[in-house]
Amino acid sequence: MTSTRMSRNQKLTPIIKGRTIAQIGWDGPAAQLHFGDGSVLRIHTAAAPPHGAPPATLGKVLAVRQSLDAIAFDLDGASSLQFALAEPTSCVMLRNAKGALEYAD
Amino acid sequence: MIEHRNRTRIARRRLAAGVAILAGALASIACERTMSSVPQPPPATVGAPQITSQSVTQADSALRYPYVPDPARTPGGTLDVTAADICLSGYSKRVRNVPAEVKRQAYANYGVRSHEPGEYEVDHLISLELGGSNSLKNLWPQSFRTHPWNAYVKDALENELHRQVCAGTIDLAKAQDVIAHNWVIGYRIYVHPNPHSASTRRKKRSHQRRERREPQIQPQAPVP
Repeated sequence: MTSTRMSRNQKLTPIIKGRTIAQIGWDGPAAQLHFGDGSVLRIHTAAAPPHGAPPATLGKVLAVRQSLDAIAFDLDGASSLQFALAEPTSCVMLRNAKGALEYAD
Repeated sequence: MIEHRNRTRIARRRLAAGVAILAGALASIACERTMSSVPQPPPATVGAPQITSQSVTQADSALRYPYVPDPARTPGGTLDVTAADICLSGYSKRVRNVPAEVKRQAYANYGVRSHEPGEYEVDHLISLELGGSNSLKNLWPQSFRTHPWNAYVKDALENELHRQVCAGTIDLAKAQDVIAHNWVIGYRIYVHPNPHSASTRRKKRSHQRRERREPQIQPQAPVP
């Protein structure tokens, strides 16, 4: 099951729109997007980035787009941050600074 | 004459008691063979339905699709959430809806090429409210029309397990295991020995009203 069409994630976009990605960490193939407000978005990706890969773009989130195999964050300054997903679903989880669940897929 | 009637009555009662004891013994022998791999009943609580050896039968363990999902295709899948997460009001609304493409794949996995409105739903084997995920490992087309075990009946088990997790009488992992293993057996143990027809009729009417308002996803993918 593959798909290249990316459509706006209507549930996640309004939650993180306006938040700034301050840092990106990796725990094996799981990416952790740390936002300026202390919230953390965990993404199970298809693979960890290769050693020595250039640092990812950071910035304020404008929208989230998603297909069955990838998720993309449109950032201010016309840049975008994209991750290949390990599965079509069940790969993304957002918790606020206090650890409370804000979004899960 | 009266004495003769009394003697007959006593003899009938003794016979009935003997038959009941024998039936119970036979049932417990049969169940011991199948209960080894089924969830154990919770400790008895006041007001809970009486769990008897007849509650879970060998036939329940032998149930196959369309009553229960195929464990190879749908073993169940969970999100990394805690009981505190799922017991918070509005939890399910924080979980993304299953994408239409994934629903189509779930139908295709079970060879359901087409269906009528109100015939199936794509069910989370481990329900969202118990921390189930949107993974294909946790999705299967569940019929509303099979009898007596169907989607309406499973909803009652999901609600009861959620209630018990949030009341602290069962832990989340155990509840997930119960529903993933064989939800029919779980229903008999945690809800009622038999499917409750009155509540399912009410839910059926409510579902039919909803069906009239919501369009159905039609599966497109061919059978593998």
